Amino acid sequence: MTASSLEITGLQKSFGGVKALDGATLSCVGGETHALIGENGAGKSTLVKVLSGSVQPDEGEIWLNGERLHVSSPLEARQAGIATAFQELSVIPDLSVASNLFYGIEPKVRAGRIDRNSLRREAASFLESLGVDGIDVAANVRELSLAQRQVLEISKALLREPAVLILDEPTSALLPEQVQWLFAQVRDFAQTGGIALFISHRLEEIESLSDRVTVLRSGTNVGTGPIGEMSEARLVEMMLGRPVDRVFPEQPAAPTEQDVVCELTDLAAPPRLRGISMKIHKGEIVGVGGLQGQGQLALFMALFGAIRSTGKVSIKGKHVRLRHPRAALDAGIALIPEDRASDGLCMTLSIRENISVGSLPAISSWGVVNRAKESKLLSSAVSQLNVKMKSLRQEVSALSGGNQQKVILARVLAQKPSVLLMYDATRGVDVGTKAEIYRLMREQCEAGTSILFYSTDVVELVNMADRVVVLHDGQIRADLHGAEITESRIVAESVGGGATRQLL
Amino acid sequence: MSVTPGVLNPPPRADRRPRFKVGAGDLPLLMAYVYVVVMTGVCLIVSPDLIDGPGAMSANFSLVVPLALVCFGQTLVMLTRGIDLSVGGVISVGSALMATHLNAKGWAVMPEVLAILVLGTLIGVLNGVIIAKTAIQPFIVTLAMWSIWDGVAFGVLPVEGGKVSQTLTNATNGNIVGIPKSIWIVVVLLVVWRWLRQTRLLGDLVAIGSDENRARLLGVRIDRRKIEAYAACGFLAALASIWVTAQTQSGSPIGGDQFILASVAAVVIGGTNIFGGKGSAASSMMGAIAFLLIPILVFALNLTSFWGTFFQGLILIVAVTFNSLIQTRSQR
Amino acid sequence: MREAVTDTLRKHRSVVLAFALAIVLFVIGTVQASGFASWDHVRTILITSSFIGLVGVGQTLCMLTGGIDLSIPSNLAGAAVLTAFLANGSSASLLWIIPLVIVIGALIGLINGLGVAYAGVPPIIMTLGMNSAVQGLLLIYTHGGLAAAAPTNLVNFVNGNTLGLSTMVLLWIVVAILATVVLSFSTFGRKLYAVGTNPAAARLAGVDVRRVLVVPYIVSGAGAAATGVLLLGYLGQAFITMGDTYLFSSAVAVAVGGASILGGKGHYVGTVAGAIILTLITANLNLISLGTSAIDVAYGVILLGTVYLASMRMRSGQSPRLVAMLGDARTSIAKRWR
Repeated sequence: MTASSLEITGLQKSFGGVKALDGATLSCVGGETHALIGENGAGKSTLVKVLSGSVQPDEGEIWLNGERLHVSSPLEARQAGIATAFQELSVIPDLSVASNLFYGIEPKVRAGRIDRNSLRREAASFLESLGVDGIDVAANVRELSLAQRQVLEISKALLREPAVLILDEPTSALLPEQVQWLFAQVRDFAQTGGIALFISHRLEEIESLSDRVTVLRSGTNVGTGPIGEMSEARLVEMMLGRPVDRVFPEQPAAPTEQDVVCELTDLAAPPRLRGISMKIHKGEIVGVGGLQGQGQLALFMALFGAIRSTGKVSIKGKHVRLRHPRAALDAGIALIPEDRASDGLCMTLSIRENISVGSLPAISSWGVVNRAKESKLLSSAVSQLNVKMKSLRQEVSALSGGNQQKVILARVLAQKPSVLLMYDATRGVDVGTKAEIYRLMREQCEAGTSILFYSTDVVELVNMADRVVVLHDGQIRADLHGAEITESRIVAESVGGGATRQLL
Repeated sequence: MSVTPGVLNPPPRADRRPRFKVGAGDLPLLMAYVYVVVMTGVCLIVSPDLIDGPGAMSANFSLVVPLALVCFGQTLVMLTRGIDLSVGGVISVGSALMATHLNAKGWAVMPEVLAILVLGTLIGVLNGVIIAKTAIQPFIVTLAMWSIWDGVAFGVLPVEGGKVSQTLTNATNGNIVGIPKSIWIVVVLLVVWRWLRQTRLLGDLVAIGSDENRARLLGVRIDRRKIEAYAACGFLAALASIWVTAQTQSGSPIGGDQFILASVAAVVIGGTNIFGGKGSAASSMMGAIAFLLIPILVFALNLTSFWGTFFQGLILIVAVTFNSLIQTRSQR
Repeated sequence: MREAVTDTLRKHRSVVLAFALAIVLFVIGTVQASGFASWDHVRTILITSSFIGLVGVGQTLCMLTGGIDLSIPSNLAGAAVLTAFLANGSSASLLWIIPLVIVIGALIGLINGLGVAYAGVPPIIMTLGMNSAVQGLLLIYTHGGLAAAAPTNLVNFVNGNTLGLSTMVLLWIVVAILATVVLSFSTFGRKLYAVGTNPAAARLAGVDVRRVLVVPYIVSGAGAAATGVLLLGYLGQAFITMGDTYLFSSAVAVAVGGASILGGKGHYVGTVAGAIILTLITANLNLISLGTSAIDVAYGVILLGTVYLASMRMRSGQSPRLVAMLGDARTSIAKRWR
């Protein structure tokens, strides 16, 4: 399908009290690849969801080819010619690749039946025509790797021959050849006259693929223009709203060699984690990088005792058996989990209860909670973190994302860890809170705590970490120190090790 | 764009695709067949008359029919990670109504029969609407409904008995081309399942049970499908109610209660994943047969019939524990 | 201080409402029949409520963790029948029989709990199967469930007074205080609420979720057994179906008391109110000559209504995605390993 223009004006959307989109606008013409960038929480995903019909805007208009669109369901989006490859992947694990590819557009036979065999044939031939191989169309998606699922998600969108192709972070787990394949597909698509909307965190990819770029911040369009006219620094500044260096605290000189606080020997948790051996020193910040799905989550979960693992972990020279998070906490390892709402907080409980629950043994005697000890714990935690709230009895669901993250931090810090694990702790958090978290990390390090942190944001790794280990396929591919820690080096090691390429 | 082999995918590592399409997740679905074969075998050895004897098949299948109907619907519901406890109420109220109001003869029974079917379907629709539109868990909604409709059944028919139309009884007895009607019904159900497997409806139900959030992104009409699943369950329960009442020739205000345990057990034994995403009504019907073989086995082994109640509860516990352990593992 | 009180009142708003409703129902009853407010009748109401309330302790804990115990009927009846049979009229043997019976109830609950907590079986299915299994065993033991008579000491004890109050009511008060202390002040209570709200987050905070999850079912099993023994004393005899109504009444009492069925919210105090409310409703319905039929319907409607209101309260002010996620929080962290 061709599209001559896509115009979005005045889009407003709030979730509860949180404003995700605040008068967002977007303007694309047919045949162009348009990049949409912005921090986490800037509104990109919400915009995508509005366009794909999953979410209804409170206000605003969408015009496609000069006609007003009302996309009130994913079905209507498809009928309007909008296809989306979602960031969180819209493939159903228990269905086959073929079923997923053709979901909703199956060729029907008599009496509403779907012919499975012809579906598989068509799926196989379609993937072949795209140049995708190695995916068995009869296999369940559950058996595919993350990269394969991303390829499937993209292929699914292409199959629908849309007028508007939306790609939300399509390359987070892809290898370079796969990224090249994607670029070729998008260029082919653009040549047919459609509009490609490309959301990514990777400025290099944006520079090489897109024609124009729009920057979102706090739900608004803060800048649009041809990619050639926007420097990287300018783009980052628009994204953050302030120059980069104001966000990150000063990085101290490389610390002198300290004692080893934590040593991992062949820590493995198949199939994702295949054997990690490393040392973490006192007061050190170690960043963990690499493409998505290379075992980072497994590493953190194994180190925290949340999943079963083999291999040896020793804290301060003593071997510890990490069978359960409680064991890890007792050994001095604490975790800030990935997803606030589902793994970090009990949303309907109060701030007080959420912070205390991590330190129950320390504040109770004979099975009863000691109110005095609890109050002491709470007040010091809350003041240290500057949590903005009405009272400790408030439900955490009423707090902003940044403050919720602070509650989790409060709980974790009250557990007095010697090794702090932070898994993507700044995702979806506003810039102000991020700066506070960075400052806190530095404070903790100066006090002797070691931090292992994973981030999808390479800029964070560069600015905060004393060392960076890059994971690939469940193993450490590179261990970078000091001056070796640069964006290009980290990305290079993530995708292929060694040589940097023109693209990057 | 060259089609170089392996260009787009790194060579497969340790997690090779299984050669046969059967993985650990399929094991539960096959177990039902194993159970049935084993139990039938034991029965035949110990007391062959119960299976081979004159009229045995017909009598046995007559018991299978209502459970097969109910567990078919229960399978659809459980595919979406739900459960329907109200089938007990639907069957009870259907039975009570038939025993007190349906005394017509011949074709005049039809409108009344239809009324019962409509009632069952509407109860199912009500279940589905509440479950789809509110955050209330299915087990609570259908638990409440069970109480409500059992209560109505009690009000209509306080004691067992009543009078059931002879036409209905005749309609459910006998043979068609030499094969008992009960067996025909089971066959029809199997055929319907085969057809259903290839429809959009079932694909959507599996998607909802497998990953509701992603199904929403795909555009699946989640509310509509859930309502359809519960409505089907209610309809099938009403059908079961008609069969049971016609066969026993008497109404019972609590006749439906036993079907709750039985249908859930049948589905679990049949291997449908209670966490959604995988299942088969055909396997559930196998599970129903396995479940119903228990009292027969107990009788064959000369134990008091109460052992049947015990074993039926036990097999549910064992089967569901077994399935839960496997199904949680295969989620990894 | 005042702020803490108003905050607590607002937080436990549903409990306050429940007690208000109980008072309203009582007043309606007095209007309809003159003897309603008599001391004797109030005593009867409180005693009847106490049975529901005692069974409700375990049910409250189960529902706080998002589960339910459907094995209460046969557990209760089993304990009563077993006691009657073993005692065979002798009151002295009760000394060892009653603890034995309660331990058996706790063991049944333990099996339920192990299945739910360690095997991941949905509570409704586990306890449904257990109910049937226990009922089967009971029928086998009693060869069909003939009624059996209770030893006289037990009857006198249960029906008599201690310290001026009916023994049952006194027992209930003691149990209620115990339950409240545990839920509000103990570490176990904190862990229970965390597990009921978000098991994955509780686990990552260091709580041994599985161990916590077993306890409600043990308590429910032991509680049902104890209530069975007491009911045996109250009625003077035991029979197989004596536990049947307690399934619904316990669950509805908990729901009415404001425990959100999604788990994590609610308190035993609310269940107390709920038990009294249900008894008052039954009493009122009896006054207008509506029997079991209407009561069953009423229970179902009330359950739906109160749970709906609870779910609405959760929904207000939260994004739909959050509510959906809260529903999914039931799954363990293993689920994200795809």
